[in-house]
Amino acid sequence: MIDTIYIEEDVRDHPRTRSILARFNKARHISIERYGEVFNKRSQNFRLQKLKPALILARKHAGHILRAPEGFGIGSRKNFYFAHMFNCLYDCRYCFLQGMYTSANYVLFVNFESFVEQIDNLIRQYPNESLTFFSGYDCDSLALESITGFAAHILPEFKMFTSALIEFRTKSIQIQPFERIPPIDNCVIAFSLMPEVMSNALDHKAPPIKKRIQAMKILAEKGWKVGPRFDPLIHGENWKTHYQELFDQVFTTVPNYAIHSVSYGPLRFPLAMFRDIFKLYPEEQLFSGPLPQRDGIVAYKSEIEEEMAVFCHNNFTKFVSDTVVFQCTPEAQAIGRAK
Amino acid sequence: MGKGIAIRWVVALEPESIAIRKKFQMTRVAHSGPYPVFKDIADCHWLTISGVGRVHAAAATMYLHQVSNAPPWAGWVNVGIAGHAEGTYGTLYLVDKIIDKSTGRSGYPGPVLSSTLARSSLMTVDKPETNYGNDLLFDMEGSAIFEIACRLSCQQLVLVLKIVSDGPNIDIAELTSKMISDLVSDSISEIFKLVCKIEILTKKEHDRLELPVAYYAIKKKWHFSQSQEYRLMHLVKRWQATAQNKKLIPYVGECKDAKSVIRKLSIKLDNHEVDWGKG
Repeated sequence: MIDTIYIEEDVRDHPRTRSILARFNKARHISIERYGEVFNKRSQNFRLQKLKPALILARKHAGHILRAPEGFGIGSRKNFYFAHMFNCLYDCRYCFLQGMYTSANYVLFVNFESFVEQIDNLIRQYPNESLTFFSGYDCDSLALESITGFAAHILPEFKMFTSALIEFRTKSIQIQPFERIPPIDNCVIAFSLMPEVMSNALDHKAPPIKKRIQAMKILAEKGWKVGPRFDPLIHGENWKTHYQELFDQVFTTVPNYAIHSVSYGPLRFPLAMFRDIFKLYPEEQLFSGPLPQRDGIVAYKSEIEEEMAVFCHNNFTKFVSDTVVFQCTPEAQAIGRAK
Repeated sequence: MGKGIAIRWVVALEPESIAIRKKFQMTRVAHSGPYPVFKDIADCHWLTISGVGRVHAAAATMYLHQVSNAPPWAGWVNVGIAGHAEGTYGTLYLVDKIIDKSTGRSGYPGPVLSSTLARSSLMTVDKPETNYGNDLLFDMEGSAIFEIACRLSCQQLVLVLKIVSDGPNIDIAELTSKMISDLVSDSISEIFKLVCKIEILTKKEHDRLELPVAYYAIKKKWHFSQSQEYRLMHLVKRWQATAQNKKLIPYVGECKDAKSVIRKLSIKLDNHEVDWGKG
């Protein structure tokens, strides 16, 4: 339950701010000038703050839409990502946000219209190219939907952008915004998945895997396109058995015709980020395993990464076409082409 | 008893300290430093009296840190009286925004504790403020203590608690030591409840930050260079996370030097496979 809301003076009278404040009328409201004065302070403790995060209502002034790294994509030539929020309701132990931000507070940028405007500008800038926009990079796309209403706002807008694709990446089962309207062709609802035993240990506060798969099924049956996402791949004892069970469960539950794409990617952290995360959670089993550092990146040993990637790819292609399977790494597609 | 619990109290005035010292049965620490220091029998709670104003408050906070050998997981608590335009005399507030009048800077003690206490913003001023306004508390130390304590620990472990002592209808000049002492005494059970919650957090932080016993035992047995110490620390923590901590010392017992300890541990851990089904 949110009991503290910081509000940038600049957005105090924004209709979205007013509506959120009305919902949390018992919360303490604290005025601030810019969100950074609360969010970016270095002396914060992410782990302790995660016990009771506050909400920060702010305006996004610049950098609404950013280029996705090379090798990150699901078929388009140009890929972009954006985040209407920073931070997440969930507390997944592998999440890079815990190493990226000093604060666990949720920042919500209430000027949704500016995101749509910037997307529109990019589509006009590249009239003959297929573009994909990823939502849910610095947050979960849907986890706080009941408060933000972001998906409900942007979905009708995206219906007009027929040349572009939008992906909502989530672990949430709050799929109401999609249930309320007819399916939109250029929208993919992508669910992050991992074997249940791993998710139970790592995806704190997130819905169980079975429920996520069920949500995917419901959306698929309503005509939405969905995308199972196996990123990051987690290693451990009997990982093949665990993943095999998960793949069987996903691809026998979710109708094949609704699967827009399947993607997978390795567990990787920049070294500095890994150090911060390890310092926050030294007792975490995930970090006790074979995670050496090479070229400033902490990841499973390359033979493990490769074995996992090949295993996944070979399994996916038993269920879906090779053309909709994507590996999200700088070495993208290499395995797909080679195998 | 009290392992990992570390609370450091900073108050401006001697009467503000009386109820706290009594509650935690603190006695004076013999020393010849610039600020009086008190502690409880378990060395968990330490208190200093800074005197009035930001400079003294900052200096006393730093001084207490040194004298008490405060660990990075220590919780810091500032309790004191404050002026308020509308607050009822004797009301205890949990401060969640501090404005330093002289610099214009703001700080945000981010409360991660559940509490039913009233909350308010605080303005720290350099002269006693009689022009109460803007629904703020006024004191003369809070911003300095908060700023320094955040550097010594973290924002989530710093509590600033203020009790309304003066306002438009209560003249600050008429406050007596007895009145100040009573104000804190009347709120001590509420303060205690909150500090108990901070104690739990300091314990958690202790468990996170304290190096494992095995680390010290290994360091004692072999000579490690500074970079080797760092690697050892990382490896011992990883070992602990694998829940094999009891077996660590015998595992490296036969190693002939620091290098071979590190090699042996690295090989073992780099081949460790987590059993996710173990729960």
